[in-house]
Amino acid sequence: MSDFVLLENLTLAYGKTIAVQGLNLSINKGELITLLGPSGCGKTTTMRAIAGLMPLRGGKVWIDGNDVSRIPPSKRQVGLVFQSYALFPHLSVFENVAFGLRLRSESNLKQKVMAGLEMVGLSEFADRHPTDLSGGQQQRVALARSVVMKPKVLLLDEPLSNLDARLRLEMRTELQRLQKDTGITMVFVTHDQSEALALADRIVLMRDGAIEQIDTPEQIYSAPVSGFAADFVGFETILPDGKGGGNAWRPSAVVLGKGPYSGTVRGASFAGERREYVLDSKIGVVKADVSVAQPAFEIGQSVDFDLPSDAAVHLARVG
Amino acid sequence: MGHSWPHIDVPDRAVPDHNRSLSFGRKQPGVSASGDFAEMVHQSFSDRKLPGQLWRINVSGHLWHIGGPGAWRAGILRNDPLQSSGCRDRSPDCFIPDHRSRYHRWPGAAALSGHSNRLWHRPGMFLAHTALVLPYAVRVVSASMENLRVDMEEAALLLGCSRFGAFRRVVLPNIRGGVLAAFILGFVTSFNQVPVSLFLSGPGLRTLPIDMMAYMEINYDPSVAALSSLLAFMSIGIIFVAEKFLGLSKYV
Repeated sequence: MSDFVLLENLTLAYGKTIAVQGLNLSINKGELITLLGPSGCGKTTTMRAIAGLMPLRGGKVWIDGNDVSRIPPSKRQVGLVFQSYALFPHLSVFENVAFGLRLRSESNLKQKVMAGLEMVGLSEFADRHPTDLSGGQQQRVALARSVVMKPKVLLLDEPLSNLDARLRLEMRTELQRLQKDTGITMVFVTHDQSEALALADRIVLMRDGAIEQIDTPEQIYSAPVSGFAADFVGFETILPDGKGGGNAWRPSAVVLGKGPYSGTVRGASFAGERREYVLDSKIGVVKADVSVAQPAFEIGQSVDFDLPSDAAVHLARVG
Repeated sequence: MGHSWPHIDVPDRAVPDHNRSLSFGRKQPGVSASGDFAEMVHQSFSDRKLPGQLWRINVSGHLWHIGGPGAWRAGILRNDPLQSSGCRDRSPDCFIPDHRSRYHRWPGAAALSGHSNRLWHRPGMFLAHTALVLPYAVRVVSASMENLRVDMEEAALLLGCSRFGAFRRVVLPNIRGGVLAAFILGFVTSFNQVPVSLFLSGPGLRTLPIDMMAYMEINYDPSVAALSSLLAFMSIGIIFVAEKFLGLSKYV
């Protein structure tokens, strides 16, 4: 079902500062959408507007065919997992998960809560308090607390950013599994492109309160529309073509040691299997990484390099 | 009728009870100093419980509208032994200092029954004490609120709470320590407060420290000193209780 969540000409502001201007976005039912962008691009603000925590300056929010623009957050049937987890420290894990269900005076409360805790693998922690749990466990409790409410949309605000690298990977897989199992519509906010690429059905790349590009992860990764988008998905060398557009290369696409161009090594770092270099050249700053099997270059050394045109991605605009 | 002289308003029900009267300045036979003292404390508290019995002297409502001088007069009157003793005549058992007794002669605007005072004393005292302890309460509670993340409240909203519900179910339990600390601080401050209470106390509405001062003006015995010590110990006791249950030292 398309247009399950629909943002129509959404305008949001903090006082006189416009955070999001005229944003249009349609999210399908059961889809996992990622709002990706640097901090301050309006992605969290947009998500808060869907939740009802942010008053709209203009436009409308539709969820499941209903205009919820003026509906308070408590009645929108939207779940939100906060970056800080926002668990209630005065309640046990069980009571945290039961919080919303109790307000609805649902039957089989215990069963539903335990099922929720089971889903995130925390059944034996029901009697503990959130402060006794690790970050990853708290994150799971927050997830269970939202999911047991069976929300129409589950919003996740940088849920993995407070976790260490290994846990992050684990939680990422868990989220994917959860989404498959429940078929819940998810909006995932992140500034981490690898997270977005790994999780999303579609990525909404945001910039300065507007959408820069909406596409599948594959498309975003291989065919960014602008210099901004290219930069965000790892194209480090972006050169204008003189016609408003430009070409972009990933560091791995740059050939070092031979080629028509030459530059001076300004920075060099060792990163395990690759060596990363920053070169100053007449055509601009070029970033390259090459296999450690190749001979290393020193800082200050002059190096020939090539930017193969078959490895370049053409950008409609450089900015 | 425009006068704002205080006058004595003797309720019909008031029956002189000399055995119960406080004999300020003059001991009754057989009544020890500590007996007087206990009586004083008793009266001081029962004043608030039985206002109708004890609000005998009324200051005209105008007093409160003319600010400082009015407060000053009320300040004089608060110590009038008549007020506590329930005297309605000048019987020798009732001590009425000369400088006070002249109130009797003032053509008290009897028609100004003083009911307006009854209306104003309590809210006046209440508001003044509230204003006095408000800064403490606000500071202490907001300090504990700063430790509380806003998103916790938002999480409650999204789980179906109303704004008030989120406050009651999530915010309040988490700032409980701050609220209790503010309560204790406010209670001790208000309880031991003298200057404002002095000016705002009126007929039938006095506080323990004010009564102690009044007692001191005329009597000389160690009971007030003893009571002061008790109050000091009580304040210290409250700090210890707060420390035990709230761990205030962790904020220091």
